[in-house]
Amino acid sequence: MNKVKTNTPLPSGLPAQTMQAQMNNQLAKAYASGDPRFAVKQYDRGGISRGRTQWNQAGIDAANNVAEGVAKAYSQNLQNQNYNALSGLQANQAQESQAQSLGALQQQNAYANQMAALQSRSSVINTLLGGLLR
Amino acid sequence: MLKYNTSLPYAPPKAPPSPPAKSPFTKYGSAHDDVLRAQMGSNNADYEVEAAKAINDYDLKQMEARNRLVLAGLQQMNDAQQQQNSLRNTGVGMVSSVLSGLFG
Repeated sequence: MNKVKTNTPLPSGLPAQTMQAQMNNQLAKAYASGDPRFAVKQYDRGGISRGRTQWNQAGIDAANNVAEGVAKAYSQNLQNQNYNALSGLQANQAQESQAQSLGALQQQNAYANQMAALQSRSSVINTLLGGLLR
Repeated sequence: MLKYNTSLPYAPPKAPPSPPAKSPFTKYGSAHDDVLRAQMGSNNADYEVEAAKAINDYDLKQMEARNRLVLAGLQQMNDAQQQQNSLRNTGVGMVSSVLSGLFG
C-alpha cells in the first residue's frame, strides 16, 4: 500500500529573538555613534588645530548619526516583520492550494471509481436481462 | 646611486623611521572601541538575521516542492487505479459478451 506523507510543518519565519537582537545591536551602534568625538576626527587637517567649527560640525554629524541609526534600526525591524508576514502568507497559500488540490483529486478519484463501478454493474445487469428476456 | 659629499665627515644615511602600525579605524580615534564593538555586534546580528532568512526561504521552497511531489504521486496513484478499473470493466464486458454469445 502506498503511503504519502501529507502533513508538512510550515516554515517558522524569522525568530523574534533574532530580530530583537538585530534591532538592539543597531540601536546600540546608533547611540554609540552619537559621541561627537567619533565624528570630529574626519575634520582634522594637518597643521590646523581643532576649533569650535570642527566641534560644531562634529556635533551635528553625531546627532545625524543617532537619528539615522535609530531610523535604520526601526526600519530594518519593520522590514523583518514584513518579511515574516509575507513568508507566512506564502506558506499558508501553498498549504491552502495543496489542500484544494488534494480535495479535487480525491473527488475526481471517487467520481471515477463510482463511474467504473456503475459501468461494471450495468454490464452485468445488461447481460442478465438480455439472457432473461430473450 | 647616492653620492656623498666626501668633504664632510662620513655618516651613512639613516633610513626614515618606519611608520607605526596603522589601525584601519584611525578616523574613529583610539577611544572609540565602543563604536567598533557596536559595529561588530551589529554585523553579527545582521548576519544572524540573513542566515535565518535563508533557512526560512529554504524551508518554504522545500515545503512547496514536497507538496508538488505529494500531488504528483497521488495523481499517479489515481491514474493507476482508474486504469485498473478500466481494465476490469473491459474484462467484465468481455465475459458479458461471451456469455451473451453462448447462451443468447
